[in-house]
Amino acid sequence: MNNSQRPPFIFLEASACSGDSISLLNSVAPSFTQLITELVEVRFWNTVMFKQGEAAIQELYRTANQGDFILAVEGAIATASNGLYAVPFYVNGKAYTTVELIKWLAPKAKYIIAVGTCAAFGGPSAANPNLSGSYGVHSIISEPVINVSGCPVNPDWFLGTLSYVIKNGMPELDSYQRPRLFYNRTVHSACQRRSFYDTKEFAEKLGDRACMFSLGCMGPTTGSDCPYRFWNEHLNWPVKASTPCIGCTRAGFPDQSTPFYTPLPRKRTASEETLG
Amino acid sequence: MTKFVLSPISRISGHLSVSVQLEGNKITAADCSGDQFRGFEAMLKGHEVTDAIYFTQRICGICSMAHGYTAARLVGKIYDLKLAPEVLQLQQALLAAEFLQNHLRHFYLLALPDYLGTEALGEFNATNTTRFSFEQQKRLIKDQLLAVDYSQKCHAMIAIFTGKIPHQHGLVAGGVSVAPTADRKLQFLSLLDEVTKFINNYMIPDAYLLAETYPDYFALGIRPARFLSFGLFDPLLGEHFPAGVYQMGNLEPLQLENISESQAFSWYETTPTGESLPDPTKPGAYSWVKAPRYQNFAYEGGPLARKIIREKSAGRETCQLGTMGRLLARAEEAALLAAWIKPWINSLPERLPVLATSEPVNFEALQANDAPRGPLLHYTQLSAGQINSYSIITPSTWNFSAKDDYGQSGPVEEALLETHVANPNEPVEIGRIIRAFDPCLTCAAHVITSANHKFEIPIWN
Repeated sequence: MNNSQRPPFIFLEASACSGDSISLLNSVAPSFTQLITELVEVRFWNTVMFKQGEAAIQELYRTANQGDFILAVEGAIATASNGLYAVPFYVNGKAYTTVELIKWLAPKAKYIIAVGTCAAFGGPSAANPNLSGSYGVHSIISEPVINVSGCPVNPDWFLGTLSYVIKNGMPELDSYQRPRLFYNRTVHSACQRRSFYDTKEFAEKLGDRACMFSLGCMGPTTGSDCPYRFWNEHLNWPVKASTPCIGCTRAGFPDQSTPFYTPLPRKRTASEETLG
Repeated sequence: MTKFVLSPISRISGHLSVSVQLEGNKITAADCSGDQFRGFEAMLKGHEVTDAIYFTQRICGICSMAHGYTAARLVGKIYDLKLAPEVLQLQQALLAAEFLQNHLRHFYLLALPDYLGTEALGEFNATNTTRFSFEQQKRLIKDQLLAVDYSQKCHAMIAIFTGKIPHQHGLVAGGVSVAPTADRKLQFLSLLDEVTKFINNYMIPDAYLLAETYPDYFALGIRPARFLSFGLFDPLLGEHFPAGVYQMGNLEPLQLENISESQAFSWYETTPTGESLPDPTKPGAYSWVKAPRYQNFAYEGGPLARKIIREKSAGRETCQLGTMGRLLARAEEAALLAAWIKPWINSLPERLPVLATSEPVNFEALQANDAPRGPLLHYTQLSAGQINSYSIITPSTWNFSAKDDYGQSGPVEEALLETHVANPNEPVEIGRIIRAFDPCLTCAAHVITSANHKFEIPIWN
């Protein structure tokens, strides 16, 4: 840290639940305060910025026109009815949709980071029947997008990616454009309950101290480092809490993970996630 | 007469703009536009009902536990699960911890900046846009930064039992998947102790300092006295906020069949089969938020509503109202909940009954309870064991509702009406009044899949 020259930072909220912003507030080291006071210079972030109305929009324009900013996007981009399903603001009575805003901002940004599964792949905001016509950011624009998926994103994944980008540029990405550093091994490969899988001790119900495969665990097809990363001050994660991984970092989440408690082969549209 | 649109309203969850008409210095018209629609009800159709617990949490990242808890209780009714009192006690302790997280973050990060008048976190205000002295600013900014740390401890408390949060895993229909062993209780209580001290020694004094410095805000944001609560926590387990309907000085029992929903000014059309479908080009409409009404009137939910109803049921009137009344009630509620949680966790037996399981016995269920921002309702009907319809009315649907069939404004619109704006070029009052409701527009846009706009409730227990 100690960046004397903090890069300008725009955090655009599209169709989402704000869960990724909240998850970033849960970051331990760096803390959220350090993120916004030492790592980047926040110019626009609706959930946390102090400015509002015209002043906020002017700051967005100024930053966009200067270029060379880092653009983070939370949420899917709603395309139905010309994008009217998600309108961050109005100027002179005209609705500015997230489709317009992302197409305007993307060519000016130095890096684009999709934060969370909605921004990366559509996620819950684009779940069937997807009335809002929502898609991941990469489907809307031609510029490269770094996908930091997760529902919500683990703060370490986003902050690790952000700090790498600031210092070194593009990280090494997998075939889903996710940083390999966090997503290149399956949950199953490093799971604490792996020995139960190998000895076929499967859970009969939630709360059992056994392998969760029988209760729909998506670990075998989900790329993420949850088993050794942990969540919320690094103290727990879903399988340690004796519940299945529901594959929230995957491109097919949530539809392909359901029914959540049904074993993998019998889920709606089980597909292999090719890691690497 | 001047008209202007304040857009975007920042420091909220989701997209919100408000269109205001001023005559002289007085607000004479206000339209609140919730500008986001995703359609969770349609997504849930065809899913297993147990999927609703994890699925509906994705509606809201700041109160995911509220949706998870409500859906878990709903699924419990489908399966006719009878949970032991201690299990309910642990569940509601986890729900209460989500309230603490929400209230800390709302007060310090979303609401307080309006009064500090600073441009960024950690910065002092060198202009004269705040009434706080330099010393007071220094104190509040220091506490604001501390609140970032203490709010995440509230989420850590939950994660001990649920794996992670937002979007927790462990609180399910049959109970909680992690047993309250001695080490986990200690960990939870240690974090709770730190959070409790912060609330009592910092948040409460800061909230009172704010109220003393801006006492005029008790009179700003006043609206007709109609307040609604679905109740918070099980009355049989002791401390709780009672359900009730407060109407112009009278407290009446809640009767859910009095709830109806209008979409007259909301971006939806009704199909010939009675289905509500999104239509963002509907003429005359201005919001994705519908207009739920109780006996055809707009009702406000949230900490102030819970306080008024709880006080009234004990024979007392609440006199601190308006914008500052809403902010104070939220801070006081945080202190109250922190005190309630402690014995709930402390008294848990180390071995809880294992998670209850059974087969689905009912084909429909309704669960109504309060969430941080007010009344939350989930209702589902199953067909061939799967979700046929799932309806949700969230707190912000009540508070941020659009006008209804009769042209009556929603609660936040009512709160803005008649407001005296000191400087029409800098209408700071608007943002302050709106934020005191803790807006969550990611929650607010939902459809009730009902043929007539009346909400039919076949079973209620």
